[in-house]
Amino acid sequence: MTSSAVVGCSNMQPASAPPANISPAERRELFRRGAQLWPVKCMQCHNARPGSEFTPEQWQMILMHMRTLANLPPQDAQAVYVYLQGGR
Amino acid sequence: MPFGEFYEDYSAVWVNRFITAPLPYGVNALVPPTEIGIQLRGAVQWGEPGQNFDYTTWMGNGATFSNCPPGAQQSCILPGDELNSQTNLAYQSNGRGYGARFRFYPLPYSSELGYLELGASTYNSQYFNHFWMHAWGVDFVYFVKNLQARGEYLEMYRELPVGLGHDHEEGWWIEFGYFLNGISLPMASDEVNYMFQKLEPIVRFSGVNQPAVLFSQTPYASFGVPAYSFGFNGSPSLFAPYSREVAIGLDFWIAPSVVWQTELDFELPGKGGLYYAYPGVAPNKGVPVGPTPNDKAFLTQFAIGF
Repeated sequence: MTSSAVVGCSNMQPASAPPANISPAERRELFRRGAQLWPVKCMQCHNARPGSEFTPEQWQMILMHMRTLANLPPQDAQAVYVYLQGGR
Repeated sequence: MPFGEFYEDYSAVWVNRFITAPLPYGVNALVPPTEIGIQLRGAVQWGEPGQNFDYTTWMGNGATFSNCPPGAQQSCILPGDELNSQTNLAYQSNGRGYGARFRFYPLPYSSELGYLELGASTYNSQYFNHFWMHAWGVDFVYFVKNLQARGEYLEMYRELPVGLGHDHEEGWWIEFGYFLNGISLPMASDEVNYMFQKLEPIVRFSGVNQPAVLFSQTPYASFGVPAYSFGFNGSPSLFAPYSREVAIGLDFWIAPSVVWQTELDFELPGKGGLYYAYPGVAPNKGVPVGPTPNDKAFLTQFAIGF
């Protein structure tokens, strides 16, 4: 248990948004992954919501909260964020 | 509270496919539902996307058992299992509760085998200031195409006062649901098929074994006067030593989180066991009782998520 906590903390990133300098191909991959994640992880409990409902900053805040509550690894939180932004 | 699949992920009314909770988490829950405390959570991706491992450790204020069923006419000395319907906090405890939950996701998101989640939980606490309680459980979630399956097994050990020994209870539930989305009825019109495809039939089997039931846990706790608890779903066999329930349901999904639910419960109590009375109220020893009569309940509910 202790070791897993240490590993988990080492992967932690301050925000759910991906780094600004990722390539378009990496962003597309994140979008594809986010599209797989959204129905499995998010829509188990929530209404399907359009990405335009919140600003990117608001989605970051929401994802920071849900990432903790739903135990999402940082890669998954970033993928959902990119998906909600329509791959932008 | 991060104990088991039902409490952590499935208990919200618009998430739970059924209206009622499965027997281990019903009105007489094996594990008290509330805690105030702190949590440490995290997740690690160990393989392909979706192949994760996550953990939750927590510490809280300890089990919050009620010491008296609502409506009881007497001074209750033994703590029962029921959440206080007025305060939601019930009996204060000086003990601390702590627990952990781990989940393992063996399949990647892209797997054609579906989505699988395997979980294990522990909970240790003191209640009524110094009596101990231990609980553990394992659970799973599996989705593949239109099929959803969930299940859980848990055990609870609890020390009882005044020389009554230990209380050992075990419970389980397993549930299957199948979305009819994508299935068309031959010979039916488009309008009928449109409505048909919004349906999800569901079935659940749950049970609890509690060989020795405290009299305070029964609905006849106050000198023969029924004292049903808040949240009581009309199933007397819930208080039987070996309760069993088969629930079948049909959900009509108006939108992804807007659902009209209907449910039919069949209570199928197993063999009898022992009832224990409060100290000072005769008889203060195990009284053999048989299984409670069968019962049925029909429920319907409209639920909106967010």
